[in-house]
Amino acid sequence: MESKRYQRLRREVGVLSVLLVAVTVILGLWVTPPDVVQGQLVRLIYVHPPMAWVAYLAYGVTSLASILYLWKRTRNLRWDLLAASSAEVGVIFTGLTLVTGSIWGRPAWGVWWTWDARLTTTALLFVLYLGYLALRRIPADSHQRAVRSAIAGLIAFIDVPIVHQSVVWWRTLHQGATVFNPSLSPRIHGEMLITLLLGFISFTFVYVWMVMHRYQIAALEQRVLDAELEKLIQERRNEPGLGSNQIESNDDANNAGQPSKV
Amino acid sequence: MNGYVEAGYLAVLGSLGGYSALLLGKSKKLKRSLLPVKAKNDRDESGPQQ
Repeated sequence: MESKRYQRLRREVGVLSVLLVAVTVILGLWVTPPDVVQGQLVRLIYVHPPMAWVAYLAYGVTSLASILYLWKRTRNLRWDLLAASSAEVGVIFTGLTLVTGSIWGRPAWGVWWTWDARLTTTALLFVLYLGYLALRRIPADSHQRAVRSAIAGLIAFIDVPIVHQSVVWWRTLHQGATVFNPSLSPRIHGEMLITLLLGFISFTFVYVWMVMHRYQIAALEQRVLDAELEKLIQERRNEPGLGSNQIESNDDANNAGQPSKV
Repeated sequence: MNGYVEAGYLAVLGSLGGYSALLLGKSKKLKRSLLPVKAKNDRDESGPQQ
Protein backbone atom coordinates (compact mmCIF):
# COMPACT_ATOMS: atom_id res chain seq x y z
CA MET A 1 0.00 0.00 0.00
CA GLU A 2 1.21 3.52 -0.69
CA SER A 3 2.62 5.58 2.14
CA LYS A 4 0.87 8.52 3.79
CA ARG A 5 3.68 10.77 2.58
CA TYR A 6 3.03 9.81 -1.05
CA GLN A 7 -0.71 10.41 -0.60
CA ARG A 8 -0.02 13.86 0.85
CA LEU A 9 2.36 14.69 -2.01
CA ARG A 10 -0.25 13.66 -4.56
CA ARG A 11 -2.87 15.81 -2.86
CA GLU A 12 -0.50 18.79 -2.85
CA VAL A 13 0.31 18.31 -6.54
CA GLY A 14 -3.45 18.15 -7.23
CA VAL A 15 -4.23 21.38 -5.36
CA LEU A 16 -1.29 23.17 -7.02
CA SER A 17 -2.45 21.97 -10.45
CA VAL A 18 -5.96 23.34 -9.95
CA LEU A 19 -4.61 26.70 -8.77
CA LEU A 20 -2.12 27.02 -11.63
CA VAL A 21 -4.70 26.06 -14.26
CA ALA A 22 -7.15 28.59 -12.77
CA VAL A 23 -4.54 31.37 -13.00
CA THR A 24 -3.68 30.35 -16.59
CA VAL A 25 -7.36 30.47 -17.60
CA ILE A 26 -7.92 33.87 -15.94
CA LEU A 27 -4.81 35.34 -17.59
CA GLY A 28 -5.55 33.68 -20.93
CA LEU A 29 -9.20 34.68 -21.18
CA TRP A 30 -9.39 38.06 -19.45
CA VAL A 31 -6.04 39.63 -18.63
CA THR A 32 -3.91 39.27 -21.79
CA PRO A 33 -4.68 41.57 -24.74
CA PRO A 34 -5.96 40.39 -28.13
CA ASP A 35 -3.31 39.91 -30.83
CA VAL A 36 -2.80 42.43 -33.65
CA VAL A 37 -3.14 39.73 -36.34
CA GLN A 38 -5.11 36.90 -34.69
CA GLY A 39 -7.40 38.99 -32.50
CA GLN A 40 -9.16 36.99 -29.77
CA LEU A 41 -8.05 33.68 -31.32
CA VAL A 42 -4.59 34.12 -29.79
CA ARG A 43 -6.12 33.05 -26.46
CA LEU A 44 -6.20 29.46 -27.69
CA ILE A 45 -2.40 29.60 -27.94
CA TYR A 46 -2.21 29.54 -24.13
CA VAL A 47 -3.68 26.03 -24.08
CA HIS A 48 -2.90 24.42 -27.46
CA PRO A 49 0.96 24.24 -27.35
CA PRO A 50 0.95 23.16 -23.65
CA MET A 51 -1.31 20.21 -24.61
CA ALA A 52 1.23 19.17 -27.27
CA TRP A 53 4.17 19.61 -24.87
CA VAL A 54 2.54 17.40 -22.23
CA ALA A 55 1.85 14.74 -24.88
CA TYR A 56 5.57 14.76 -25.85
CA LEU A 57 6.54 14.54 -22.17
CA ALA A 58 4.11 11.68 -21.53
CA TYR A 59 5.44 9.62 -24.42
CA GLY A 60 9.02 10.41 -23.36
CA VAL A 61 8.26 9.00 -19.89
CA THR A 62 6.60 5.95 -21.50
CA SER A 63 9.71 5.33 -23.60
CA LEU A 64 12.09 5.75 -20.67
CA ALA A 65 10.04 3.39 -18.50
CA SER A 66 9.87 0.90 -21.39
CA ILE A 67 13.67 0.93 -21.74
CA LEU A 68 14.03 0.40 -17.99
CA TYR A 69 11.71 -2.60 -18.19
CA LEU A 70 13.46 -4.10 -21.21
CA TRP A 71 16.88 -3.71 -19.58
CA LYS A 72 17.28 -6.82 -17.47
CA ARG A 73 19.19 -5.08 -14.66
CA THR A 74 16.34 -2.69 -13.95
CA ARG A 75 13.45 -4.97 -14.92
CA ASN A 76 10.47 -4.45 -12.66
CA LEU A 77 6.74 -4.51 -13.36
CA ARG A 78 6.51 -1.01 -11.86
CA TRP A 79 8.17 0.40 -14.99
CA ASP A 80 5.59 -1.27 -17.18
CA LEU A 81 2.74 0.18 -15.12
CA LEU A 82 4.34 3.63 -15.26
CA ALA A 83 4.75 3.35 -19.07
CA ALA A 84 1.09 2.40 -19.46
CA SER A 85 -0.15 5.13 -17.11
CA SER A 86 1.87 7.82 -18.85
CA ALA A 87 0.76 6.64 -22.33
CA GLU A 88 -2.91 6.80 -21.36
CA VAL A 89 -2.57 10.35 -20.07
CA GLY A 90 -0.54 11.18 -23.20
CA VAL A 91 -3.40 10.01 -25.42
CA ILE A 92 -5.81 12.36 -23.59
CA PHE A 93 -3.45 15.30 -24.16
CA THR A 94 -2.81 14.36 -27.82
CA GLY A 95 -6.57 14.23 -28.37
CA LEU A 96 -6.89 17.68 -26.82
CA THR A 97 -4.02 18.96 -29.01
CA LEU A 98 -5.99 17.86 -32.08
CA VAL A 99 -9.30 19.28 -30.80
CA THR A 100 -7.93 22.70 -29.76
CA GLY A 101 -5.91 22.90 -33.00
CA SER A 102 -9.02 22.15 -35.01
CA ILE A 103 -11.06 24.77 -33.14
CA TRP A 104 -8.30 27.31 -33.84
CA GLY A 105 -7.96 26.21 -37.48
CA ARG A 106 -11.62 26.76 -38.42
CA PRO A 107 -11.62 30.57 -38.06
CA ALA A 108 -7.90 30.98 -38.90
CA TRP A 109 -7.59 28.70 -41.96
CA GLY A 110 -11.24 28.27 -42.87
CA VAL A 111 -11.21 24.48 -42.32
CA TRP A 112 -11.58 22.17 -39.33
CA TRP A 113 -8.97 19.81 -40.72
CA THR A 114 -6.34 19.70 -43.48
CA TRP A 115 -3.74 17.05 -44.34
CA ASP A 116 -0.89 19.32 -43.33
CA ALA A 117 2.35 17.59 -42.22
CA ARG A 118 2.06 18.70 -38.55
CA LEU A 119 -1.60 17.73 -38.30
CA THR A 120 -1.13 14.41 -40.06
CA THR A 121 1.87 13.32 -37.98
CA THR A 122 0.03 14.33 -34.78
CA ALA A 123 -3.02 12.31 -35.80
CA LEU A 124 -0.68 9.39 -36.52
CA LEU A 125 0.83 9.79 -33.04
CA PHE A 126 -2.66 9.64 -31.52
CA VAL A 127 -3.49 6.45 -33.45
CA LEU A 128 -0.11 4.85 -32.62
CA TYR A 129 -0.58 5.26 -28.87
CA LEU A 130 -4.24 4.19 -29.07
CA GLY A 131 -2.82 1.05 -30.68
CA TYR A 132 -0.34 0.76 -27.79
CA LEU A 133 -3.21 0.89 -25.28
CA ALA A 134 -5.20 -1.64 -27.33
CA LEU A 135 -2.19 -3.95 -27.42
CA ARG A 136 -2.06 -3.89 -23.63
CA ARG A 137 -5.62 -5.21 -23.44
CA ILE A 138 -4.78 -8.41 -25.32
CA PRO A 139 -4.79 -11.20 -22.72
CA ALA A 140 -1.28 -12.35 -21.80
CA ASP A 141 0.80 -12.90 -18.69
CA SER A 142 2.25 -9.73 -17.17
CA HIS A 143 5.81 -10.24 -18.42
CA GLN A 144 4.81 -11.01 -21.99
CA ARG A 145 2.47 -8.02 -22.07
CA ALA A 146 5.14 -5.74 -20.62
CA VAL A 147 7.77 -6.76 -23.18
CA ARG A 148 5.60 -6.37 -26.24
CA SER A 149 4.11 -3.10 -24.96
CA ALA A 150 7.59 -1.71 -24.28
CA ILE A 151 8.70 -2.53 -27.83
CA ALA A 152 5.50 -1.01 -29.29
CA GLY A 153 5.90 2.11 -27.11
CA LEU A 154 9.46 2.64 -28.32
CA ILE A 155 8.48 2.21 -31.98
CA ALA A 156 5.61 4.69 -31.56
CA PHE A 157 7.97 7.25 -29.99
CA ILE A 158 9.83 7.61 -33.33
CA ASP A 159 6.93 9.80 -34.42
CA VAL A 160 7.46 12.38 -31.62
CA PRO A 161 10.57 14.10 -33.11
CA ILE A 162 8.95 13.86 -36.56
CA VAL A 163 5.89 15.75 -35.25
CA HIS A 164 8.08 18.42 -33.65
CA GLN A 165 10.33 18.87 -36.68
CA SER A 166 7.53 18.63 -39.28
CA VAL A 167 7.18 22.44 -39.44
CA VAL A 168 10.92 22.72 -40.15
CA TRP A 169 11.31 19.80 -42.59
CA TRP A 170 8.22 20.51 -44.73
CA ARG A 171 6.46 23.67 -45.95
CA THR A 172 3.41 23.46 -43.72
CA LEU A 173 0.32 25.54 -43.17
CA HIS A 174 0.91 25.17 -39.44
CA GLN A 175 3.04 27.93 -37.96
CA GLY A 176 6.52 27.21 -36.58
CA ALA A 177 7.35 26.84 -32.90
CA THR A 178 6.68 30.00 -30.89
CA VAL A 179 8.89 29.23 -27.89
CA PHE A 180 10.89 26.04 -28.54
CA ASN A 181 12.16 27.09 -31.97
CA PRO A 182 15.70 26.25 -33.26
CA SER A 183 17.15 29.57 -32.01
CA LEU A 184 15.24 29.27 -28.69
CA SER A 185 14.09 32.86 -28.93
CA PRO A 186 10.40 33.23 -28.09
CA ARG A 187 8.43 35.14 -30.73
CA ILE A 188 6.00 36.62 -28.21
CA HIS A 189 6.72 38.67 -25.13
CA GLY A 190 5.32 40.44 -22.12
CA GLU A 191 2.26 39.09 -20.39
CA MET A 192 1.47 36.88 -23.39
CA LEU A 193 4.76 35.01 -22.97
CA ILE A 194 4.27 34.71 -19.20
CA THR A 195 0.77 33.27 -19.71
CA LEU A 196 2.04 30.79 -22.28
CA LEU A 197 4.90 29.66 -20.01
CA LEU A 198 2.46 29.37 -17.11
CA GLY A 199 0.28 27.19 -19.35
CA PHE A 200 3.23 24.84 -19.93
CA ILE A 201 3.93 24.63 -16.18
CA SER A 202 0.33 24.23 -15.02
CA PHE A 203 -0.55 21.45 -17.48
CA THR A 204 2.70 19.68 -16.63
CA PHE A 205 1.51 19.59 -13.00
CA VAL A 206 -1.86 18.26 -14.17
CA TYR A 207 0.02 15.51 -16.05
CA VAL A 208 2.07 14.58 -12.97
CA TRP A 209 -1.07 14.36 -10.82
CA MET A 210 -2.89 12.25 -13.40
CA VAL A 211 0.02 9.82 -13.83
CA MET A 212 0.31 9.43 -10.04
CA HIS A 213 -3.36 8.51 -9.85
CA ARG A 214 -3.37 6.31 -12.96
CA TYR A 215 -0.31 4.44 -11.69
CA GLN A 216 -2.00 3.80 -8.35
CA ILE A 217 -5.07 2.43 -10.17
CA ALA A 218 -2.91 0.14 -12.31
CA ALA A 219 -1.13 -1.17 -9.19
CA LEU A 220 -4.45 -1.71 -7.38
CA GLU A 221 -5.90 -3.52 -10.42
CA GLN A 222 -2.90 -5.81 -10.37
CA ARG A 223 -3.46 -6.51 -6.66
CA VAL A 224 -7.15 -7.29 -7.27
CA LEU A 225 -6.15 -9.67 -10.07
CA ASP A 226 -3.59 -11.39 -7.84
CA ALA A 227 -6.15 -11.68 -5.01
CA GLU A 228 -8.74 -13.19 -7.35
CA LEU A 229 -6.20 -15.62 -8.73
CA GLU A 230 -5.18 -16.61 -5.20
CA LYS A 231 -8.85 -17.19 -4.30
CA LEU A 232 -9.39 -19.37 -7.37
CA ILE A 233 -6.30 -21.43 -6.57
CA GLN A 234 -7.50 -21.85 -2.99
CA GLU A 235 -10.93 -22.99 -4.16
CA ARG A 236 -9.33 -25.47 -6.52
CA ARG A 237 -7.13 -26.78 -3.71
CA ASN A 238 -10.18 -27.35 -1.55
CA GLU A 239 -11.92 -29.44 -4.23
CA PRO A 240 -12.22 -33.03 -3.10
CA GLY A 241 -9.96 -35.54 -4.84
CA LEU A 242 -7.45 -32.91 -5.98
CA GLY A 243 -4.10 -32.92 -4.23
CA SER A 244 -2.57 -29.55 -3.31
CA ASN A 245 0.77 -30.74 -4.70
CA GLN A 246 -0.68 -30.89 -8.19
CA ILE A 247 -1.83 -27.27 -8.04
CA GLU A 248 1.50 -26.11 -6.65
CA SER A 249 3.40 -27.82 -9.45
CA ASN A 250 1.13 -26.10 -12.02
CA ASP A 251 1.70 -22.71 -10.31
CA ASP A 252 5.44 -23.18 -10.51
CA ALA A 253 5.26 -23.97 -14.21
CA ASN A 254 3.11 -20.90 -14.95
CA ASN A 255 5.15 -18.42 -12.92
CA ALA A 256 8.60 -19.54 -13.97
CA GLY A 257 10.86 -16.51 -14.45
CA GLN A 258 8.02 -13.99 -14.43
CA PRO A 259 8.01 -11.04 -12.08
CA SER A 260 4.50 -10.46 -10.78
CA LYS A 261 5.05 -8.36 -7.66
CA VAL A 262 3.99 -4.78 -7.92
CA MET B 1 -15.06 36.69 -27.44
CA ASN B 2 -15.84 34.69 -30.60
CA GLY B 3 -17.22 31.33 -29.49
CA TYR B 4 -14.19 29.40 -30.73
CA VAL B 5 -12.03 30.48 -27.80
CA GLU B 6 -14.71 29.51 -25.27
CA ALA B 7 -15.22 26.17 -27.03
CA GLY B 8 -11.47 25.46 -26.87
CA TYR B 9 -11.19 26.22 -23.17
CA LEU B 10 -14.37 24.26 -22.45
CA ALA B 11 -13.00 21.24 -24.33
CA VAL B 12 -9.73 21.34 -22.35
CA LEU B 13 -11.25 21.92 -18.91
CA GLY B 14 -14.17 19.57 -19.49
CA SER B 15 -12.00 16.70 -20.76
CA LEU B 16 -9.32 17.02 -18.08
CA GLY B 17 -11.95 17.45 -15.36
CA GLY B 18 -13.92 14.45 -16.62
CA TYR B 19 -10.85 12.25 -16.81
CA SER B 20 -9.75 13.32 -13.32
CA ALA B 21 -13.19 12.46 -11.91
CA LEU B 22 -12.98 9.08 -13.63
CA LEU B 23 -9.57 8.41 -12.07
CA LEU B 24 -10.74 9.42 -8.60
CA GLY B 25 -13.89 7.28 -8.84
CA LYS B 26 -12.01 4.25 -10.12
CA SER B 27 -9.30 4.43 -7.46
CA LYS B 28 -11.91 4.81 -4.69
CA LYS B 29 -13.82 1.77 -6.00
CA LEU B 30 -10.65 -0.34 -6.22
CA LYS B 31 -9.50 0.67 -2.74
CA ARG B 32 -12.90 -0.34 -1.37
CA SER B 33 -12.74 -3.72 -3.09
CA LEU B 34 -9.38 -4.42 -1.45
CA LEU B 35 -10.45 -3.53 2.09
CA PRO B 36 -10.43 -6.62 4.34
CA VAL B 37 -13.93 -7.55 5.51
CA LYS B 38 -14.21 -7.46 9.29
CA ALA B 39 -15.37 -10.91 10.35
CA LYS B 40 -17.74 -11.19 13.28
CA ASN B 41 -16.25 -13.22 16.06
CA ASP B 42 -19.10 -15.09 17.74
CA ARG B 43 -16.76 -16.68 20.24
CA ASP B 44 -15.76 -13.34 21.79
CA GLU B 45 -19.34 -12.12 22.10
CA SER B 46 -20.73 -15.23 23.77
CA GLY B 47 -17.90 -15.45 26.26
CA PRO B 48 -15.51 -18.31 26.84
CA GLN B 49 -16.68 -21.68 25.52
CA GLN B 50 -16.56 -24.69 27.74
